[in-house]
Amino acid sequence: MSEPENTTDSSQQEEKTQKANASSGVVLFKGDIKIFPNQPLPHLDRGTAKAYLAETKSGSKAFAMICPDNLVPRTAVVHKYMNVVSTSLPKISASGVVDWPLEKREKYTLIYEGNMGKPLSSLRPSQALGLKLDAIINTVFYNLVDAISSMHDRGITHGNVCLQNIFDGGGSTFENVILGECLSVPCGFAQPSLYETIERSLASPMAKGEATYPDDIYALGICLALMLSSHDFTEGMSAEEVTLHKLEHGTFNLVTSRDRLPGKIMELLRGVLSDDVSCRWTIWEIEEWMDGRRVTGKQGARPVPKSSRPVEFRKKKYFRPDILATQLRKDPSAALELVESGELYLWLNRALQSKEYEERFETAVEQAKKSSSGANYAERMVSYITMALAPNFPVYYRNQNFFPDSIGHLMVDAVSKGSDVNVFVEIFQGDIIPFWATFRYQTGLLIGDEPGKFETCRMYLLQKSPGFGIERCVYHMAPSAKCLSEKLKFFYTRSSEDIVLALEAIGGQKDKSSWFFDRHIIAYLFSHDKSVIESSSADLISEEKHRQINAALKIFSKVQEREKIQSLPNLSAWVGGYLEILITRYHDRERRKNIKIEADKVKAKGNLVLLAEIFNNLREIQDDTKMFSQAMMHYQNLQKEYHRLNLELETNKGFGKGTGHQIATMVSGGIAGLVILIYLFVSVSTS
Amino acid sequence: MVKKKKSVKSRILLAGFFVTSIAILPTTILFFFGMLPSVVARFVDRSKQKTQTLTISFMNFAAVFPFWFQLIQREHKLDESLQILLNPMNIIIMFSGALMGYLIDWALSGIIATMMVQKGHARLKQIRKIQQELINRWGEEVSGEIPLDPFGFPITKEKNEQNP
Repeated sequence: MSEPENTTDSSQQEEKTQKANASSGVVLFKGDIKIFPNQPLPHLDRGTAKAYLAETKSGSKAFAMICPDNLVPRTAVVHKYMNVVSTSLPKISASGVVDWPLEKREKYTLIYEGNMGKPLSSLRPSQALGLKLDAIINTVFYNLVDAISSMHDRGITHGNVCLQNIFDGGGSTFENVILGECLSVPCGFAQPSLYETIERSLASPMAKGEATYPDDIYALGICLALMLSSHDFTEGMSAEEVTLHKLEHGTFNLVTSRDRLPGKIMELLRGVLSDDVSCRWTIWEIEEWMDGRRVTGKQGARPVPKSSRPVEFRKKKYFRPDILATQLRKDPSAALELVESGELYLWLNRALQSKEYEERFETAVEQAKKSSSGANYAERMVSYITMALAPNFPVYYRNQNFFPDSIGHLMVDAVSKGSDVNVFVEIFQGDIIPFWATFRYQTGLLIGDEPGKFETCRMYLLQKSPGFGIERCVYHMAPSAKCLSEKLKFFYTRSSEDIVLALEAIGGQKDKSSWFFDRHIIAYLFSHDKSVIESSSADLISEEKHRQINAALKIFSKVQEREKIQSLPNLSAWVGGYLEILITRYHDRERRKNIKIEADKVKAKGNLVLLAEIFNNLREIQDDTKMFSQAMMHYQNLQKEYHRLNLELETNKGFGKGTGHQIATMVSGGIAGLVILIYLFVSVSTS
Repeated sequence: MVKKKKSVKSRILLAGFFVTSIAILPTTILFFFGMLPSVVARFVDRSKQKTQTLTISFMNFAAVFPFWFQLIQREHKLDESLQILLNPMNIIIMFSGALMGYLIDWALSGIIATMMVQKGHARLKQIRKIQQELINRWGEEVSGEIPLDPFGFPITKEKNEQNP
């Protein structure tokens, strides 16, 4: 479950050096990299991920990307990116968590070496740059192809190829053009919708999912078209209009609508901007073209059917089901009316005349009716019908547009901002995703393992106890996310060790909360480090305080021991505040005193491992219980004796008389015997 | 069958006792009259173990023994036995032995009984002290007077509310 190890990211306490020197405005990262919070580099920002000037150990220029808390950086591919060899990509120097003084909290940061220069988008006010083909084909384009192919060779995609993220490398010519960074925000988050394929442009910025190789090629094609065009082919068009134009006429048609582009480049543009993924060129085909070789044509998938007569929706006419699908969400009530009146079905049946669309539509309507309550019927209907009419589109549900593999990012954003997460509960508990997967499968589109993950989340939601619920779903769907606990909001915790170290820091504060865990921390530990929490989970969620404390102690001690953390004095003191409850679990007051003394000694050293051993000594516990039982029996026996004796004393007038008589008999016998012996002795002596 | 055997045995013993008594008639007569207080004590003593009887009998016997010794030293004849018995002083001595036995029994039983009562009260105090020590060491729960959970800890109000 845990994310791949980042080879440069050290999670040891001493390597998270974050001495923010407010007066000099320098933040030290990993002891030798300097970040300058008072020197932002806005041209390098990626959406809400901000760039700042940095300096490596050797004094070289660098820049730091400070990642926002509500977004999940692409930490899972950092180690792969580090192995990418290309002069057209910024080299990653280090990554990890830094104490960021501007927000007074820990942030994830990526340090890149080199001077990026200015973005190409700054060459002209307009998007279109009007550059000559010869000037860019062996420089800019070559460098971009080199960068993208290097990444694809390592199995990773860029996801943010756009003119705003292509830089001149600090030179006046284009020879040092360098493609910008792509790891600080989710894939596609900072990518303008123009550069995205139709499907990805319909999704929310943080819910586009990981880009594929064809997505990078498509974005490269848009970049090339903009570099060569003199006029912005999207001028005066909104993002939605651009998408609709692409849907109706194709992307190639869009980019060639204003300017006559060089004939040499047409084949390339047609290949890379194909809206049919199966026809779109790969990076290797681009390299072949650049080498002057002919690229073989590809068989396209079946085109989206176009009907002979339109269907009317909100006073507009639509001939294609996918275009209609983009509009239904604007007015769910009207969409519902369109469905229930039978008009939409008739259109599919008679005008579009596509059996598969009809079948999907019928299935969708049936399912929407089954799984909807009165309140959300229209919205659900729109969701299902959209999937039926355009299975390649992202899922739409209650204003959320997402590809299922990135729903985790939406959830992280919602939790970070404290927004309502009920929409996600509905998504998991419903059957929208299985249907989405079914429709995609029927149309030959890739599905991935999302249905399985969603089913797992559905099971998690069935259990209400801590460690499950919606919190567990967040970390299951976004394993690279940090722990989103409110208690840890000033810390960037990505492992159980980080959590323990964060709690250690919190333990030293005066205004710390009363308890160590909340639902998020427990869910995070279950997701990322099950071995540490599983055996203690039943105790942790029990209602008895002593079991909770014991479980907490065991968890902390396991982490401290495994990660070889030398000392946790603050956390020990914090735990120490609860030790009284554990101490009172021993019956023997003498033993309690001894344990308290021992615990205080160990607590002062910050050693939770030894502290846990003190309170989990099975022999001591058994001994204490056994001796207590014996003490109880002893008490009871004494009580019985007391009652019996008291009754005897009070009621028996002749108490002790029996014994007195017996003693008298013995004395009498003794005296008699003595008298007889003396008499005999005297008699024998005198005779 | 067993009862029959027992009664046969006891009859044989009884018969033997009678025969012996007649055979040693002087001794029998001396002891009969000399140990008369013991016989009386046997009937007066209501206790099960007949300890008072024994006490009186021992001293009574001690008082009769010298006279019996004299009897067997002289001639073991009936005349000698009667002569001893007819001397009032001898009877007084014999009966005084029994009296001593009675006094020993009365005095010692009283003293011992008082001591036992005192000891009993002391034991009661000691029991209370030990119990208090147990409570000090193990808590009020060791007394069993407060409701306990299965682990032997007092059930608090919170637990009661959680587990109605």
